[in-house]
This record gives sequence, structure tokens and C-alpha cells, in this order.
Amino acid sequence: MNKDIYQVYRDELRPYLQALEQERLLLLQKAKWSFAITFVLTLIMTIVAAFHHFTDSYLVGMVAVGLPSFLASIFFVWSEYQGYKRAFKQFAVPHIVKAFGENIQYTPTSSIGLNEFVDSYLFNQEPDRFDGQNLVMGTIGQTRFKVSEVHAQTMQESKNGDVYQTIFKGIYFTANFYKHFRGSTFVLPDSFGAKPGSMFQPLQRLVGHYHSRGELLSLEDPEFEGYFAVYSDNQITARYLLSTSLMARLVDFRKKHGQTLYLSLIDGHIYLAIESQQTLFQPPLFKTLLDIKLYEVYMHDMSLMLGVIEDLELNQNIWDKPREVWERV
Amino acid sequence: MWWVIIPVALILLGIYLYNNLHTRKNQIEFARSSVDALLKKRYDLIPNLNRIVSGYTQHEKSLFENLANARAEAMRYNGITPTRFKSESSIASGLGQALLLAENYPELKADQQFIQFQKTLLELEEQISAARRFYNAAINDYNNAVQTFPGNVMANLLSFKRQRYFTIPPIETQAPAIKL
Repeated sequence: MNKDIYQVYRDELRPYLQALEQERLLLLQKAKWSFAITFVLTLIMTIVAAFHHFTDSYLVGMVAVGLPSFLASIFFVWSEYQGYKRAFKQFAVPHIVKAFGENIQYTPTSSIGLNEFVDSYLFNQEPDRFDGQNLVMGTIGQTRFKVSEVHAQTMQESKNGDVYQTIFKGIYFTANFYKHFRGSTFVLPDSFGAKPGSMFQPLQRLVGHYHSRGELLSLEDPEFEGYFAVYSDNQITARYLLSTSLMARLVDFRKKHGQTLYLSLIDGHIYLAIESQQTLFQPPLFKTLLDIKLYEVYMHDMSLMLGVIEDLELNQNIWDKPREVWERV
Repeated sequence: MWWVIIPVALILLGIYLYNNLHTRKNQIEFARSSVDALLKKRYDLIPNLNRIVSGYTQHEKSLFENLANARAEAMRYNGITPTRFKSESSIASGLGQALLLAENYPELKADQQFIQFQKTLLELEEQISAARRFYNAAINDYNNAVQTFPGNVMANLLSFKRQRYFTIPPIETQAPAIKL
């Protein structure tokens, strides 16, 4: 990270945040008024119904006025919140992102493309519905990367109609890798948790032989083998890429974030998918925007997205890579 | 019924064990040839190093003579044997010392060909290390199959013996900090 969050907050964010804080307070006031009006209208309707000798006057009030105006209030507050969220992402988040490097851009409404998701071959199913947000892309050192939230779903037919099932939801990262290579290697969550020499390894190996992603490799690091299963079309390339230090860093990254990881290394590129249900960069409605602690959370969001470059030391370009290799990213 | 099932099961087990041992032995051969190919690539770098460095260093004759001797010695061997381990160790150590020469010869350190050589050598060392890990993984799988029951019964019948792991010390120097 290039800049301290406190410095960014003090020097860059504060003027925008003060304006946004006014917007938040105004939104809260509008919300309060809209729900108060709903309550008053419902009360009036109930009293009018009681005067006209309706047996369940409160029910008439609720159905005729209360429910529609309550739903209208929710819709009104929700649409106002969307505007406030857009403004927050447009004016505040880019400053948080820039703290990580000058050559980084943030686009709140974009995401990694479907083709980049499919190119990783991390998931067996091709998505029927694909969306995402919070795209951060740029260059750190010589690592050209893209990272965003992604939600990929597949459609399945059922008796009650078509149902969408999640293939992957979380943070999806792609970058050029610092070593030259051809072929593909996959580091997937190990469903067997089979450490070298364990009784499950023959079974895992048998499944691995029929695995579409190549042959199952047994690597030297027992802790790594406990978390991940590695498949590759080339045993030497896989070991060239997964050096003992990279394996240790992957284990540390997995432990640090506690999330399920999927990683593929294909023709000079790294693809990393981190499962997460969290939505990033959400501005608060009921808490002040001026609390510095809030930005520590956003910095954590960013470090989850970009920490992979530092944690996996992807930025160690000791070999020159031809430009056209990373132009694809 | 059992008098049919048991012999058939034993025959199938025998076929599985036989194939398993041969598959693992073939895997070792494949890994060995990969290591061999990469080590040969490293031998090919030595004359280049000599050519690049000779213009700058006049007093390091013995280092390059030792390197040339170790190369000639290592090239005599086919396969990966303990004697070859020794020659490969001498090459690795000689190349490490040659890289450190740049510290004493600033002009050599700035030479583009030498910088390119360093990069090539370091990348090759990573590939050799990967191939060696593959070889040792293949040996490990093979040794497990040969030494554990019921594979050891078939291994004894076929006279398959335990094999040695391949260990060469990595180049004994710190990787130079190359800023690109």
C-alpha cells in the first residue's frame, strides 16, 4: 500500500465525506418522514373506517393504506439509498483504491468479463447468468491485474420452473504470472483433505486420473496437500510454478482469510477465485460516514482484493516477459 | 462359487500390482529423462559463461577449469547415479561462484550478456529444481509401491529394488537483485 489510510482520510476523503454525510442525514430524514406519513395515513384510515362501523377497522386501514404506502416508502428509501451509494462509490472509493497505487482504476458498476471467468477453467459449468461489480484494475510493479466481485449462476430445470444455482460467488482475480509457461495447472480445494501418504490418496489419485483438468500431483508440503488438490497437464511445469515458497504462501493466504480458494495457472496467467458472501464498499445508512474505523473495513476489503499480489509475491518479475503476454489481461 | 471368485480376484490383483509397478517405474524413467534434458541445457550454458566472462576476468582460470572438468565428468554419465550427483554438485557450486564474480568485476556486472546469462541460469535452476521434485515424487511413489504390502510381494518376484532420491545442492549463492 502506498499511502496510509489516515492520511488519505484526512487529506483527500474528508471534503467528499462531509458532503456525503449531509446526503446520508437527508436520506435518513426522508426515510423517517416517509414512514411517519405512512403511519399517520394508516391511523387516519383506521379511524375513518371505525366511524363507518367497519368491524375490523384496523384491517381496512392496514390493507387500504398502510401496506401500499409502506411498500411505497420502502421503494422510495431504497431508490434514494441507491443514489447515495452511487455517489459514495463514485467519489469516496476511488480515493481508497488509489491508496494502493497510482496506476489503479476503480469502476463500481463493472466486473471481470464472462470470457475471463470461463478462461480460467476453474468451474466445470458455464454460467447462464453472470454479473458482478466493484472492478479494480491496473498495474502494480509489472503485475497487470483485474479483480472484482462476481456472481456466476447456472440454470437448472425443476418441477417448479427454472431455478438458478450459484456456481461461484466471491472475489475473482486475474493477472499475468511472473514466470513463463505453457499449459495449465489447477489448485482446487481438497475435498479429501488427503495429505501425502494418507489412506485417501489412492482414491483421490484414482479420481484424479479421470479428472478433466489433468493428472493429480502429490506435492511435498503436507499442509498444502491438506488444503488443496493439484491437477496439471505437465508435472514439471506444475512444480516449476508451484515452488515450495508459493505453496507456503498459498497456505498462509488460505489461513489468513479462511475462505475457500480456487486457483488456475494457464499460459502465463494466474486466475484466483476466493469464495465470499460479503458485498464490498457498502456505505452505512444508520452510522456516520465520518468514522475512521469504517475505512479500516474498506481497507480490509481492498487488501482481500489486492493482498493476493503481495501475499503470493506475484510482483517479483525477475524474468522479463514479452509485452504481448500481459496485454491480454 | 468361491473357488472361482478367489482365483479370479487374485489374478486381477496380480495384474493390478504388476501394472502399477511398471507404471511407476516408467514414471521414474520419464522424470529422469526430463531432469537429464534440463541438466544438459545447463552444461550448454558453461561454454557461454566462459566466453562472456573471459574478457573481464584474467585471474579466475582455475574456477573455469574446474567447471569444465566437472561438466566433462557429468556428461560421461547416463542416468542419475551417485557419482553423477557429485559432478552436478561441482557444477552447481562452480556456477554459483561464477555468478559471484560480478561482485569483484563491476564492468562484468553491467555487461548485458552477463545479465542475460544470470536470468537464463536462474530460470533454468528453477526448472531443474521442479524436474528434480518431479523425479523425487516419482521415486517416492515407486518406493511406496515396492515396500508396502501387497506391492512388495510382486516387487520381490520381479526383483524391483528401492531407488535413491536425487539431491543436488542448489546454486550456492544468493540470487542477484535484478531490477527490470
